[in-house]
Amino acid sequence: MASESVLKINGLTKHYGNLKALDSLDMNVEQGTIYGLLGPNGSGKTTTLSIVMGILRQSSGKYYWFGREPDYRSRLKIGSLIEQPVFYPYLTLNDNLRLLARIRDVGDHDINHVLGTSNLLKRKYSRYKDLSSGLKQRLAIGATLLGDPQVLVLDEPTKSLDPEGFSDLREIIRKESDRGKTIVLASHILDEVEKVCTHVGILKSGSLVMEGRVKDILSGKEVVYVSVEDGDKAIRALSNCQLVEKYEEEQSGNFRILLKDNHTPADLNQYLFEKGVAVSRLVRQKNTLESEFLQLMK
Amino acid sequence: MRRVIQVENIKTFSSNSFRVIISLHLLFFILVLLSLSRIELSMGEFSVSRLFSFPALWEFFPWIASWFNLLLAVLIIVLTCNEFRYNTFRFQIMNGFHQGHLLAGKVYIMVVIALYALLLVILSGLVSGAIQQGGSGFSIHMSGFNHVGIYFLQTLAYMSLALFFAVLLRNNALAIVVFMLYLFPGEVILRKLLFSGVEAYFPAKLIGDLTPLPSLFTEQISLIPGADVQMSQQASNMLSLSQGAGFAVLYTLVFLTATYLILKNRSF
Repeated sequence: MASESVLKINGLTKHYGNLKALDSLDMNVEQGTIYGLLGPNGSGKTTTLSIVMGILRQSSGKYYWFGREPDYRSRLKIGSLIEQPVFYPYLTLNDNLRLLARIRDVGDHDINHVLGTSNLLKRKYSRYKDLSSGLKQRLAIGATLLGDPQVLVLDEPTKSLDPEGFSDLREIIRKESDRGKTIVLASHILDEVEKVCTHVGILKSGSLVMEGRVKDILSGKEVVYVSVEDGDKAIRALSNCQLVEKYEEEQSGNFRILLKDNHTPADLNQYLFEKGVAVSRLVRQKNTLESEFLQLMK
Repeated sequence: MRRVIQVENIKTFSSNSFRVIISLHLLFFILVLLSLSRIELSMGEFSVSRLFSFPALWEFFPWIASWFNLLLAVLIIVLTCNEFRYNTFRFQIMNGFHQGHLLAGKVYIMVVIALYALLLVILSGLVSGAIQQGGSGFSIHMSGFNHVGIYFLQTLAYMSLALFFAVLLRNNALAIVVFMLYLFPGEVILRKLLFSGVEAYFPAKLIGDLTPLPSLFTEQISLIPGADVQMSQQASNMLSLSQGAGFAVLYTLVFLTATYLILKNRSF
């Protein structure tokens, strides 16, 4: 049974003058998933999240939160951190969170929980401007949980965090996901995304070049690096090979080969031998999100 | 609206800009009143002390207070531009406010500030009236009190114009400079060069004319030979108080609508 769509984006386009930051972007985030939005700098991650959070106007296209045209009420169900933490610098953490609770129309009872989650309970009455950038980021992450929203939208949440902060963030994401929350996480730290996300969308120049379950993208596939003496012969052999999903000649005679599901490097070696291709080096590597990402970005 | 009011209360009353500018306003208004009250000047039936007595003070005090509207307008510009500076309008939109909430918050603060200014004029008027009556027993004369109500309207109108410039320009220094340039040379030049004949309907003049020179003054000045011609020329360029008040309400609504449209069509 298909899961309910929490965020659906159809043909979203954004121009900044002559620059096209988003180019007819289509995207779908299902309920209960942890969706990692990946892409290099300038690929449109923050633009996408800014539009769906109502702080940036799209040039064209539509998006739907919870199956409906978005309005301010839909944002009450979403905890978000876009680009950088934003609070009133002259207010204490307590007052900033009280203010946020009023905006979200929830009580103050969550404030201590948020400060506890952010390890900032002792700084409750410190002014926001007196926090370090890492602590500001921790507060912003914690504040997304205020009022127990159904969805978390986190844009580069690991920015300024120390290793302990990284680990705490991972724990928060897992815990909230276990409680049924949907989480959209934009990042370029691929290892983090691979560890926590169930789904991933990869953006390149404002378009989604890949979308799917992390498990499916990585499952059963192996990357093999092969060096041969006769590159042309190898290309002819690989072009018609049923074992290979795709291959690329990185340098003359050096290939990066992605095997289809359930095929092994040994099968490939056997095949090339039968085709008369002399293999001088064969190295297998686990397929990672990083290797997929880097291939897509080429 | 409850949420909007609570949010504005938390952020505005803790703001140093708010505390400092309101304190300066209070201090300067009281200092100016005190220093004027010490002037001993009389011309025929006119004396300065009459301006501090009932009922003339209800016209005089709003006129003095209107000098300080600029400070209140600057306060609105600072409070609004700081929201852009700290990205906190963006914060409010992301977390569940819409553009109408942002405007409503600022209108609420404008009303609070205008009420403070109104209360200041009323309280200082009552104190001054009581002092001037001395030992002859205290009785409040309300004739001319309508000037105080119109002063409230004037304060709101100035602040709505300031809010418009703040949202349009988003930068404290720029918005203050442009607002002042519009008030002083800007609109005066427009009135004189481009649209003579409808001078009285320009916003800054119309709003400024809501608190005219007290009639005790104008009556005395008109007795000076030659001044009466100038006074009557000036009077012909002014709308009646009720007309002026009506147009001021209209302008306030226009500025607020324009502000809302800018907010609605702007990315944060």
